[in-house]
Amino acid sequence: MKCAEVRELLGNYMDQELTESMMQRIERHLLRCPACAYEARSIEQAREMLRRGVESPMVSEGTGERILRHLAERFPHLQRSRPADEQPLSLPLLPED
Amino acid sequence: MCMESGRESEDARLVARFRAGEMQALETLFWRYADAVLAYATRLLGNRTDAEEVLSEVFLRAFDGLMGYRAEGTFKAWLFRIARNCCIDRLRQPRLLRIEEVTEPMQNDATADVELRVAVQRALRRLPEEYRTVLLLCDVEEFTAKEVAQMLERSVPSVKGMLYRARAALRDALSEEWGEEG
Repeated sequence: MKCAEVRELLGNYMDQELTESMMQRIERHLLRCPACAYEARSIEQAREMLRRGVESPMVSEGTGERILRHLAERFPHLQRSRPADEQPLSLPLLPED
Repeated sequence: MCMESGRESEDARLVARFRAGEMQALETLFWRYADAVLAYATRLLGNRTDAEEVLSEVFLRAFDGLMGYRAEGTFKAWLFRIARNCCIDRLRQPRLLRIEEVTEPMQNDATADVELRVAVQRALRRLPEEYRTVLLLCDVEEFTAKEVAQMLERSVPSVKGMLYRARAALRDALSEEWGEEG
């Protein structure tokens, strides 16, 4: 395979979207071609860094409650009702001895 | 995959309960996705303050539109499409955007983790919005190229091509922000 063909398919190769035989052809090329091997390795590394390095903030309870109050005002027709299957069970009265 | 489809069918049940007028369904849907939407908006906008303001708008638009929502894709993909549109609106009003230089270190953060996070944050900011979008949606949120193509109203090959260019641009930006030290 030529480098241009490999570069064209590198994204699909990384996402494992090629046939087994095409994956192997690209792997063989990467073993022989340092430039393409560097391209594949460095992009994969950047993707891994992105996954590990992105921020993952969480919504605080206060912020969540504030937004929910706002939403409740916007949708006043919504009912705070409990579905039938969550109704508390009423116990049958036992006969007195 | 099974977990994902379980999540999707639970989402569909919650949407139906919301449409039937149940407040609890709105609250459950909100808490189910609030953290993910906040994280996505923070990463796309580059700061948490703007992202928190956008968060409220996202859910307002989502629940407003939920009556007309047709389950063509997943609820999550539909919600993230709204989130992206809200972020784009925000980015088009640069005077409203705050610039926060770096993230506050979190407790128990190792120095290397903080350095990586700052480098990634800075590198993302250097990329065009559409590159940030495909990277975050495909490589972080793990939406499929088909889902992202629907969100962005592009073809799948176009998204795949843009994703590859975005990954290469991220690699270059990261190597300038982080890789040259030492």
